[in-house]
Amino acid sequence: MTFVTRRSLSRRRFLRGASVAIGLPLLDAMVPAFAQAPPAPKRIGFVYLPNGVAMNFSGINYWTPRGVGTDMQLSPILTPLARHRDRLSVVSGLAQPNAEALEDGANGDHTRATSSWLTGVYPKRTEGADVQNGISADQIAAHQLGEETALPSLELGIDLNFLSGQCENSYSCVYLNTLAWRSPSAPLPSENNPRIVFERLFGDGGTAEQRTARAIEDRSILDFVTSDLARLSKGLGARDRVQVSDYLDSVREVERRIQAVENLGGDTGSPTLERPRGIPERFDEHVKLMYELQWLAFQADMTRVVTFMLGRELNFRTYPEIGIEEGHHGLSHHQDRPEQIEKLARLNTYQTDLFAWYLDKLAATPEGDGTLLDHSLFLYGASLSNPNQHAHFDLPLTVVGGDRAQHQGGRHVVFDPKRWTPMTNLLLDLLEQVGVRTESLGDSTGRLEMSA
Amino acid sequence: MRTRLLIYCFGASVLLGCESSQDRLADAESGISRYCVDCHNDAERAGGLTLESRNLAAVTDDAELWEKVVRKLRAGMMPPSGNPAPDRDSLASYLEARLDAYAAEYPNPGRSVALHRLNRNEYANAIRDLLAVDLDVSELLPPDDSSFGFDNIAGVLKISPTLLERYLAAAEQVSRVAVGRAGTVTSIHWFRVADDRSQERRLPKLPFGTRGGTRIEYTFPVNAEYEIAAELQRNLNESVPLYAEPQMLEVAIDGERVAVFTLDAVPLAESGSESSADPIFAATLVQTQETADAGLKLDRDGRNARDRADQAWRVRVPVTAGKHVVTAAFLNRTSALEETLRLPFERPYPSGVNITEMRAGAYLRSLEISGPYDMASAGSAASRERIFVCEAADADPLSDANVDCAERIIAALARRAYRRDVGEAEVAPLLAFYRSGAADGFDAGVQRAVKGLLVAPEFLFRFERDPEGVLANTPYALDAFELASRLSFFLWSSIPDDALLDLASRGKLSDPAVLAKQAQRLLADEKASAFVRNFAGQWLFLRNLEASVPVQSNFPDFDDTLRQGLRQETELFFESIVREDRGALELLTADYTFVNGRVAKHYGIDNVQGAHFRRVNLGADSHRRGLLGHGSILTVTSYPDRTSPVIRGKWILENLLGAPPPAPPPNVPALVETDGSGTHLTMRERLAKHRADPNCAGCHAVMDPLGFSLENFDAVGRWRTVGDAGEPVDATGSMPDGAEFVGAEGLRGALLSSDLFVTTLTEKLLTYALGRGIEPHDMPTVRKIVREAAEEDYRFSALIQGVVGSDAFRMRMAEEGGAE
Repeated sequence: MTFVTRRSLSRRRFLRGASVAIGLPLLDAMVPAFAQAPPAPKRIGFVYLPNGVAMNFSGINYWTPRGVGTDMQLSPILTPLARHRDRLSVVSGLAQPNAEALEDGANGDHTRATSSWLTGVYPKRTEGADVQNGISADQIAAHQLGEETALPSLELGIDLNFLSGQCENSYSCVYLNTLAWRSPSAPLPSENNPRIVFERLFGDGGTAEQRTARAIEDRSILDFVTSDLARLSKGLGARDRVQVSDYLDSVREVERRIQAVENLGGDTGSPTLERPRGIPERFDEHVKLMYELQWLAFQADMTRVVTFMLGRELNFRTYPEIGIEEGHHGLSHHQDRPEQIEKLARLNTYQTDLFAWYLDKLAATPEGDGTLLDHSLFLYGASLSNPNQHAHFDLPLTVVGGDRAQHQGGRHVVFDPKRWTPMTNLLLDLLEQVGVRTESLGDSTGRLEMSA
Repeated sequence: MRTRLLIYCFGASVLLGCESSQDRLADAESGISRYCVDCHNDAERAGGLTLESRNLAAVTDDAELWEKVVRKLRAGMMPPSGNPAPDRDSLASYLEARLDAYAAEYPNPGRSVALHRLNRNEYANAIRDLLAVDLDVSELLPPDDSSFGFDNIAGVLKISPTLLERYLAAAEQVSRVAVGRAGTVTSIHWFRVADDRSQERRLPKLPFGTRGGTRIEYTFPVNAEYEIAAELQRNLNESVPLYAEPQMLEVAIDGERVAVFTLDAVPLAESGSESSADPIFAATLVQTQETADAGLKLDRDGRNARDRADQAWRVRVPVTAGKHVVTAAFLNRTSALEETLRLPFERPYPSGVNITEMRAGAYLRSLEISGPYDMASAGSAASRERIFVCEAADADPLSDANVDCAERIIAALARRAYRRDVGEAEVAPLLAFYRSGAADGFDAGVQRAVKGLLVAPEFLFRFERDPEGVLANTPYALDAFELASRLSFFLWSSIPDDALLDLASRGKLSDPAVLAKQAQRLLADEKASAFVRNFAGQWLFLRNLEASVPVQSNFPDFDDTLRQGLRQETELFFESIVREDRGALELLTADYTFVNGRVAKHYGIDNVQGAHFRRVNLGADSHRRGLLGHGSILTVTSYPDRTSPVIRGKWILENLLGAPPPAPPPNVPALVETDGSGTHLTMRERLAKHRADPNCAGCHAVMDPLGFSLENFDAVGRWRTVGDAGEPVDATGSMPDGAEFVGAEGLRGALLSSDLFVTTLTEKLLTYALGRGIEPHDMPTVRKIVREAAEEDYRFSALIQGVVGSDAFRMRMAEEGGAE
């Protein structure tokens, strides 16, 4: 393996638009030995679009394709995916019933949209210590697929919330900030800084020996944390002990990750990419960099499960580079005005362009008997259909990639929106496709057969 | 029933004559049945609430419910305006008196969770105070989730594997910097200058004779060489614009020049055929089609040498360990060309295809500091002085003398880090880290121990535990060390200092007089600026300014310099109230504020020049008096393209009146843009239609009129008399109870007519101080603080002392199940 130090690469190369697309050859040494032997690992990714999408309006199908089954005609927003048409299924008509207000009030559509997307569970309405959701599909996958990788899963985002008053009343912000819930009470924070993601994946540099030494050192510190916690938990009441036990769970998980690094002899790969410097100012550069990191993580088999939020619900980001100067959330309440819907569609197309760019990379990366895309299954979509109405039914969802034998693309699969078939049924099938068998998830009523 | 009532009478006797209490009970009962039960009955349950079968005589059985009733009455939200209402004040007062009397008898200090993680800001301050290490932790740790409007809420500051990994990595880096051991890898820090910061003029705290650029306070870990690299801002095509004059960037450390980088001038003839004949723009002819194309494709090879010019803009310099100020700024041109002539707007406009460059000179995009290279020595940074209370006595790290010294070092650090007295049990495991690290020398051993300390649960978490033998569900006084931590995290967002720990250790801190004196001392300390930044920054939404991007077509002058200026104005203002111990009502009424040249220009205040802030008198009849006239708040409560009376109204309700409205119901009908005939409606007209819809009216009838009163301020806080649709501004507004008023002045008057504002501020202070949400059982505490502060004209210190002296702050409720 060539350890290219960052100084010999142009440090400017990374954050400059097209320069992000470094078409680097797959270095053999980057792929751990077990990844080369068939079968290739199965991976799953979830890409989340905040504030819903422009659906269909006045005869224009911005999102939902016309035609059913293989007669699908791709819609404007999905057109960037045309070159992967045979790898994608557009799934229409599914719903997220637990994002509805239900009995405890009207408030919180965006909050529940996020928190229920991968859990199918109605979150407990609280700002206190008792946050409660369900375990999320990605974490169910991570539990099984993540056993062999350094990181069981990666939780990524584009904006992190540091703002005041931008969460819905009486719901903790944590519900809006992540899709991933390791347990009903353990949300996993998402990360938006490419540099930090890079360092989590590949360490912050140094040689393999140095990394191994660091791993040993860190483990001894975690041993100390464990025994210290035992000492400190004496005299705590039953409820407070739950906190300590969550803490210990985290310690054990980090120990497992450190062990994985040690097993690799400290060789975590990395050098094909210059360490990113920070968060690029422009949306597209930032998103591409985050995709690039996901591509690297999959390629080097550092993780097999990723959630990626292209922004959080309620965000007010503007997109001047495509002529959108209103805040995203305001725009999503398009008031059924055609020009506003057109603008929202332009934004959604922009998002899809970036996703297509990522798929291109995966499809261009050979792995085993196919490409990375053959071994990576994605759910791409939103948890609101018409955002103007906070609609939690007829959700915009698209499945891409994966094992061709299991996922035949090129189809538009349509369910009757009036039946409110829960999208967790689809999630069960996606899990099944990556070899994770689960009987139920949140409000699921049975696995949806996509391979029909 | 009778006996219970007597008990209440007894408890309430200070406040109410028991004689009249029967009469008052009857009055209250009739008031509620006449004015409330029409909607809030068992059948209708408006808002999910019935008051029909409640026994008012046993008010405290339903304390939570009656606190809600009090809140709605006090805010004037119930009964809804326009409906017949009882004397809200006297009904609320009656209920409050009953609830307060009960609370006095049976205090409930509440209970926060036992483990309270330090948030990111607190972590940064803690390593500053513990190790004298000043690092930007935003790179090291993720931001924290918030609840109840603040990011220091114990219940939601959870730990996760990812976070624990980050703590390990942070501990590695911080401990190395602290001890002065270079890491295994070169560290690189990248500082991005905001794209929309204008760099035409001198920026605050940058050298005279310069314009633009950036200023960074950076902690250099060791005596060594470091590299500083500068990068030029590009245009929309990623090209460096052309300038007719050379552009010179000066890099300096602590004011000493270390390099000047020059971008050559481009003679007019070479800059392409599209030169404008207009002499004003002649100097910045930018876009030949060639550069535009190259930029579009971002074809590296296609870029001309100019686009690579700044690749050589790097300099290596020896720097001593410790904190230094690094600046990079452009030298002012000597040319007589009047730059402002060419700058129609304050905000910078980069060129693109067919867009002319509007920036008069080169801009800095980023500065990068990397190192250390060729380490000379550990140096004598402040952190080493703080840590090494003794020095290695000989060359053998494991000699008795050296181990003794290491033990002293560790014991001193652990006491501050754990915020309590420590003994063998705490020191021993850290000393074991010293021993294992000492193979690489004394410093390496200490570094390892510091690293362990920084991941120790007792450093990362504040533990509050029930004392042995305490009865379940019984209030008890906090341990003195726990109290010391509460105080220092409240006012400093950091760990206690030695003085505070010593008092705790000697058992003095439980003495209310001592505690009050310490609160006063902490508040007067420089470190209390963290309270201003974190409390006011979140209460008033100042933090949101960072994400505010008013659209350039409507607000072409709004740039990052103004954004930072507006934030600073409000911070300085809030800080002056705190530091000068003024009355909290001055937050609304002050006839002064703090401005620099940029903010003054924005406000139309004459004769203020330059980048530094100063206090200016606004005059008694100024419409800018108090927080309601602050551009910061007016901007963060607007949309990027227009004002939003709804957002402003909601902000006022939540943050000034303490009565947050519920969020909109599902399937909100769209705001109507035009009337039936297609005529465009003004915002007021559109919102009027909104309020006509009964689904929306409940809340919008309350929110919108509050927001309307600020319509004289546009979406970036400038005064205006004409609205967005060209109509004259109508700033008529009303309070939730229907009382009408006009404009910001009227709103101010209405806010001052009750103690709701101070009550809300107190609730926020208590939330922030306790790190938990305010429960109904806390309201008697809030009212007590307000009552007592009223006697001191709500001086800020009275509010702080009220919080610190409260049972909720000094005590805690034992867990229901009890300790094991």
